[in-house]
Amino acid sequence: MDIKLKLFIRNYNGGPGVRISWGEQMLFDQILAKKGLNEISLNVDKFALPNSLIIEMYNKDMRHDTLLDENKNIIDDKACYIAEVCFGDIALTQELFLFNFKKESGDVSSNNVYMGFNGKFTVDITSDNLHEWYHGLQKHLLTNTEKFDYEQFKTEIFGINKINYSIKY
Amino acid sequence: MKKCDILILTCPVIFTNAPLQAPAILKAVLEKNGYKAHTYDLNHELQKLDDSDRERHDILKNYFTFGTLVDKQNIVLVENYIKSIRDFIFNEYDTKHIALSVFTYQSQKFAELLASSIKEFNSDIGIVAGGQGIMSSGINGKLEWVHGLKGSKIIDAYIVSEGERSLINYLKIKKAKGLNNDDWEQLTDLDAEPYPNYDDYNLDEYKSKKLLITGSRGCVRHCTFCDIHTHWKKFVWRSGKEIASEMVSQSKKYGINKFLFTDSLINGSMKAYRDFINTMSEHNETTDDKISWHGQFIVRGLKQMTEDDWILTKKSGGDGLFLGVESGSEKIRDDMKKQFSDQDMDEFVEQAWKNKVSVSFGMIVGYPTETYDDFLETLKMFKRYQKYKEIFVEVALGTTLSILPGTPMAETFKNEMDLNNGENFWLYYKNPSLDFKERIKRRMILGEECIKMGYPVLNQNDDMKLLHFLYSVYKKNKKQIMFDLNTENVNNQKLS
Repeated sequence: MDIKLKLFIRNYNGGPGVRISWGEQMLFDQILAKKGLNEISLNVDKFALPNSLIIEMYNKDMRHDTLLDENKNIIDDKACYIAEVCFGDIALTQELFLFNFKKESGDVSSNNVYMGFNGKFTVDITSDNLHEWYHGLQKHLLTNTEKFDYEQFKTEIFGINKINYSIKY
Repeated sequence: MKKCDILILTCPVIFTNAPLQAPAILKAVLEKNGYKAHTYDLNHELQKLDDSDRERHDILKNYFTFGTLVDKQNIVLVENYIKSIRDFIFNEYDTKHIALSVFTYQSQKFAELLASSIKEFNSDIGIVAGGQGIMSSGINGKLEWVHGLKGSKIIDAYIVSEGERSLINYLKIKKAKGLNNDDWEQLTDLDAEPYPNYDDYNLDEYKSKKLLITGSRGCVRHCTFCDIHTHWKKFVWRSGKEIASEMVSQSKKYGINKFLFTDSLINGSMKAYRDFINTMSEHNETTDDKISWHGQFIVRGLKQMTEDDWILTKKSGGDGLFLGVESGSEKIRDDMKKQFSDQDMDEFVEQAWKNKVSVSFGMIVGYPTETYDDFLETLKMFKRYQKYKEIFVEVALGTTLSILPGTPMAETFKNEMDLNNGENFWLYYKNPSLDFKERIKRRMILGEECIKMGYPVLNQNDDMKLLHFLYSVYKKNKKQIMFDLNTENVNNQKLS
């Protein structure tokens, strides 16, 4: 199985360390020094399910690796933003917000794909059928999407100037 | 303990509040053939959990339906639930065989887990799985799932399509057409079959106070978007008198007077239909416990369905005819092979209104050949029937036409269409302006105009929410996985 990741890196003080493992099997372990998009392609020979993909950020010292201005706004950081994870032809983007990020301290946050602390982001594939599992994620997203706004959707479909259509029949 | 030759279990998840018919039919057939059979509705058991422990119910339902858990720690809940069901079965029943009724693919996960658990506990129990849900991707789908279970000895046998003969053959000779193969033989004399036996069900517990009934199998039409006619080898129907007799008998036995036909078309055979409404009308005129019925119906003009037929339809208890109208354009309906004209439609709706028989319309927005003028014909049709809107129970506008790979429609258009990464995203080269965005636009207009005209549009908000989601997938050029377009009831599941 091909596993591809798109990670956006903030590389202050040399960039974060990123480890990626498939269950117990370590697939990748590097300091990502390149700022911006880092595309990582991996391959797993024995893709047995259910299992978990774990993306771990390490090598961040919270005392020194975040650059603040005088008003304590972050102006640079050592961090990793997970933009996309692909298992074969299945690409997870907004679905990633359903998974948990566990900080080194033990705190768990959800609805977050920005790793600003050392910790592990875990994509749990809880089914033995990848497509069935992905189908479930879509369904879950759909039923839990609160931000649906019909007028906004209509504007997107009709265009701003045509939303008040007039039709004769 | 209840001793029996075979225990028939209804596997969740099925979105219905009514008892399913298949296990009750099989019980009746088995007992007619000298076997002792019990039925148990595990779908209903899961639904009861919704009242007592909603959080647990939702976790289990989600896992059984889609095979997923947001928190994998909850797998313990699933395992414990399966174990509790298994223990209940072995504590309550002394049986040599278990039949798993798998109604849709959404029952596969539960069936698999339960069968594994049963085999681990007692490998001597014979397990047979059947029902349309043993196939993947629709009624004519593949048997990969059930082959896998049989190969790994989780089940001993499977039955393709009708189970009446095959289940007897499973118990008797272990080898037959339709048993462990897809070379099944369709029953041709439905009148010879016994009435469904619901004696094991506590019908008072079901929220839906109606029983299912089958008057025919198959369909007389060959609509291009439908795969029913490619599954059923023949259109087979019961005599009208037999159907009426079953309704009267079941209503007396179980105290339920409402019936829902499972047929693709109630009035596929007009001869049988006339016998049925004549007999039921006579019954209803002589009793205070009047019977009523509803189901899917085909539009017929007055040449085929006369004014007398309409009067008797009402008297017989007909109320709630679901019509697959699909489009207001006669040309598009011809393309779909629906085979009814605008005049037929006009006569039908007028007669329904005159006789106070309620109707529902099922529509398809964005058939591949639909032009903008064809779409306007649909709006004109609703405008024409606005004066009859009181008889409309619902108008189902759907979420635009979806085309599954392998279905007759995908085959028909295969050289002229790009399925474009998803069942909803197709593009027909000969009508390229009708892309997914345009179809959504037409669906929006139709929904808004129907609501303005006062029609009860079904699931308008949910449909829009689903389209919004699908459009977000489409925009990103992502692949649409086979989506659950089924919503809350068994009718919708069947239609999709």
